[in-house]
Amino acid sequence: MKPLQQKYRSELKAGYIAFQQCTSCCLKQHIARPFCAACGAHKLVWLRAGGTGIVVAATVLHRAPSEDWKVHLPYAIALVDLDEGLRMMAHSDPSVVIGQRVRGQVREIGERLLPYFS
Amino acid sequence: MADAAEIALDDAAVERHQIDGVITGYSTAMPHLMLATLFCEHFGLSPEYANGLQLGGATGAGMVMLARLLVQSGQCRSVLVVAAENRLTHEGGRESAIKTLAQVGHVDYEVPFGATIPSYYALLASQYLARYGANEQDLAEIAVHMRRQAAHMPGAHLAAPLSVQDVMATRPIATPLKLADCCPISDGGAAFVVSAAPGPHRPVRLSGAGQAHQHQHISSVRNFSDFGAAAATERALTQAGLSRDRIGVLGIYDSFTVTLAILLEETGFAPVGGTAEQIRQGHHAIEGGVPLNTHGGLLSYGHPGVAGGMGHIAEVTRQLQGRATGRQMATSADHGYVHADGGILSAHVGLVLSGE
Repeated sequence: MKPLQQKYRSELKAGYIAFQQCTSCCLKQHIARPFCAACGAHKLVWLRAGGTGIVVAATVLHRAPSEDWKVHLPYAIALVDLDEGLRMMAHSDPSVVIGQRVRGQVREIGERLLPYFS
Repeated sequence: MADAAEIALDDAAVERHQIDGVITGYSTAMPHLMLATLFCEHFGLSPEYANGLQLGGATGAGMVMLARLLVQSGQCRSVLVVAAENRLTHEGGRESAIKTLAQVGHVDYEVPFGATIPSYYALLASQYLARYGANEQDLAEIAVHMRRQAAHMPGAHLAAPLSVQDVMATRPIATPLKLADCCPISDGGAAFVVSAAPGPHRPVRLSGAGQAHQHQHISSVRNFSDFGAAAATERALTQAGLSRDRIGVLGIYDSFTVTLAILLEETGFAPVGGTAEQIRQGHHAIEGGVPLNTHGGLLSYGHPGVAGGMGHIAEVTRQLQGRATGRQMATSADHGYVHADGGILSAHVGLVLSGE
């Protein structure tokens, strides 16, 4: 699994949200795997998302999971449906609402590179 | 665990040596690779069959379903199902539990955002409110219901009276969920004896059981009106040969107010978006049509991990037996339904319990 994570992260570093597409059944999957989750084929290609989509769920956190997140409170997490037909979790502007069109960018938070939509 | 097991054995009038199967859950406070055998040695059992089971919040219902399979198949005669943990007071306490539980999310695609279990359910809540035009007061109604029930439940973690205004005034955890929309982290235990032989009380048979597992991570859910609860319920009711209108008492998983709303509606015991209204009308009170979580649920009785999800099963059993002292439902019921979910509405187990 490690090379897949490295690929996803290196794309984020270059400013892109990347995903896999199955060359056999054309399924697009955001969570990278060495195979297609629908048909099991092992041949997948990496594509870059255009970075725009629609908010389908949103929350602003006032309670952190751990000490290192406390300094960032409050922060927002959203589920976004990308125009490519993928659903993903991301950070967002706390003001986003469900149904809103948003554009993503990659932000550095702590030592993490994270997609952020506004 | 030993306390819960002892109470269950006494209640069933079963001796230790008669237990030939043991199923345990897991403990976040004290993780162990072999909890079932660890417990057996500690409690003085030498069963012919033992294992642990992990399905998050659905573990308790999953264990009972497995126990029945073991009894039905003839593998075992009397199975002890047991779970307990000091999730609140163990070293590390609440902080450590919150951190551990957040790891249910995807290690690369969810956890790195600083997500928590309440935030995953808050995403669902935001969807639920938007979809059905409901508001935060509607969710608060669910928390108030559980507290009303807990007032009559011995050992309830939270029993102080609570109003919708009180819920609305609690601090935000992950919008739209506030502190009172979230279950507490508790200490506790629960145990059952699932046996081929009836005990001294009104026998309660597991007449139907069904599961559904459609996703693990919330970002993998495609359809927000089909999490798998409907399929599990259908399987359980079909096996029991019963329709919903025969179910007289409910035990529905309520880790958050929104959990209860989504599950009650997807299992078909409330119209979509209609949970709060049914509660307001008194339909789920002990004197109502179909009493719900009469022990106060996870939201008020408490959530000690696996045993929390077993609370609903214990309570529906007690109601069917007519032994829910001080909170016994007004009309007697022959059938009850219990539904539990694990993860983020990920693992679903539905149980139909029938009084003989």
